[in-house]
Amino acid sequence: MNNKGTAPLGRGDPHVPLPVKNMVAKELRPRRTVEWPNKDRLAVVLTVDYHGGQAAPTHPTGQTDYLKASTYQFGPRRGVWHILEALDRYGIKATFNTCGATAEEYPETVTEIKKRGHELAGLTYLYENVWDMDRAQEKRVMEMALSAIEKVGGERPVGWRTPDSRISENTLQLLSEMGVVWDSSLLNDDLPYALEFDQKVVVEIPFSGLLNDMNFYGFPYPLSLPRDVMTAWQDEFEVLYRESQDHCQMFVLCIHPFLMGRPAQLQAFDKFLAWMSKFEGLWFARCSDVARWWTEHEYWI
Amino acid sequence: MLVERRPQKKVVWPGGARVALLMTVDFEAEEDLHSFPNGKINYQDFSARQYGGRSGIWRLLDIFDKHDIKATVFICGAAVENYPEASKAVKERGHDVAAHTYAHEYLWRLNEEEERRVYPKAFSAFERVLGERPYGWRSCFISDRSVALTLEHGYKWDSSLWNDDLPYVLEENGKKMVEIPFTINNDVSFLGEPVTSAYSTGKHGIVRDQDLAWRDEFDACYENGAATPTMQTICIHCYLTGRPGPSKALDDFLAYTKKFPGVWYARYTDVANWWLEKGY
Repeated sequence: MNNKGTAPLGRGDPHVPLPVKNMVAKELRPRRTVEWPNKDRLAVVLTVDYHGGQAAPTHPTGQTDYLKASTYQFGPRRGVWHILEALDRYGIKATFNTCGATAEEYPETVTEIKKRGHELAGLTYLYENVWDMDRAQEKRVMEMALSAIEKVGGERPVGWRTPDSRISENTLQLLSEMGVVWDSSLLNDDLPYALEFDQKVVVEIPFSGLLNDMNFYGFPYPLSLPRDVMTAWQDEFEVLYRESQDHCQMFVLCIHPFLMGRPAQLQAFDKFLAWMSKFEGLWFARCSDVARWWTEHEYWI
Repeated sequence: MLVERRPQKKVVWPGGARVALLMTVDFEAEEDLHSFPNGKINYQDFSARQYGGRSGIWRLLDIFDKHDIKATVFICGAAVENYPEASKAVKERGHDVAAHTYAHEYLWRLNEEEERRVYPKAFSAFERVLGERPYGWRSCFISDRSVALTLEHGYKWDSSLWNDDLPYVLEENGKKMVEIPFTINNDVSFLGEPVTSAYSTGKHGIVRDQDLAWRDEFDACYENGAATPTMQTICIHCYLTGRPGPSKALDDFLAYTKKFPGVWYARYTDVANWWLEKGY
């Protein structure tokens, strides 16, 4: 498709509103043609939001809602293992955004994720509503989350995702202060962009609700059919792949072990991975791979 | 007193077309925002909507160019200010540019004085960035007085009501305006909003269903259009159908309609002018 925008990069608008209101930062948007490693045309970033329902949802009376809590528990008990097997079948390295509490309660899953070459990143500690916290509270959550994964996995994460994309106005700046180099919480663009806080750069890797299994398989009902969801993901992939002929593009998936790890969902996803793997010019990247490539090439200059 | 005049004689479209197909785009970007009850911004909603201004609108413009179709694009005054390049491109590529309030205000929440203040804000955004005032207006959430106010402010046509198949004329104090109704069969109805709202669960519909739904509606309008000309209004949002997968539903749907003779791809201004010219 011929892109007649003034640039194939940021689609023509050099100055767009900041991703966060009142943010004291500069957004550094790509100003040169983006190329991926090895002249690949489409970066495929498979992210897994991994939690086990440690922040037990409750009924209005305060008692645990076991319908939801035990549904989430399927993730670390079974789902994550099935997904790790599927990823190995296709040799895909993914990014596991993991709740700190989940890492502590299921350390063997974290060890396995790391052993198989995937990236471990933060997803808060207990899937907290950081949007409703003040700066100090949110910083404590980040520290607990990053430390928990460091303790269990042996390495401090350099990446982060905020639950349900519901950041606060402090989130991104806090990340820059904590040595986190990439964030993947926002839904507002096709390609990465950088945010500069006081000379520290955080690369934002946007994704979308349409490529998030929670919006199809999660609460509230009704559920979508796996075959329908996979056709929707194929459509998304096809258009981005077609566009990547003119300019590099990025396809970011977000799956949850408690959802995608179920038999029918995973079988359909497996077929989707098989279908996708046949396309040429794909760069299967973890988020830190994308962030490193982006900052090394300084696409905002 | 606002007076409504429905067509007094048989309606025909230019060239004897069976269906007037009105492609419309709501370009809001981050203006239609669902905040948390305590007033804090829900960035899941905010960033999903920002996509429309950063990327979605450009993808849609390319698709319209591909099919050589001119659409009507409703732009929030604030979005015109925030995304001037995209807004200018909409105009330059031949589409009808119309006002979608200033900041997607829920007009029914405002009193008359507050509601009146919305108009000059939208006006000046258009004049400053696009060089001319808008003559078309849409609000999704009108009050009792909105339609009369829009007429009073010199708009030639309005599209804020969901209540009819065909246009009709509204008159007051010697001023005339064509109301061009739209429908619930828009992309948000099928694909859902980014978060739970008064109208949506926050879950996603399936993209191919959107294409099928539009085809079903087109087929019905086309068949009915043999006896009496009909109108199909498609309303899409930059942040939603502007996404890669949903844009394919639009692309495929437009290709489907091109197979049929007797389709008038009209902008709202074209319909309003035709309607008044023919004296319906």
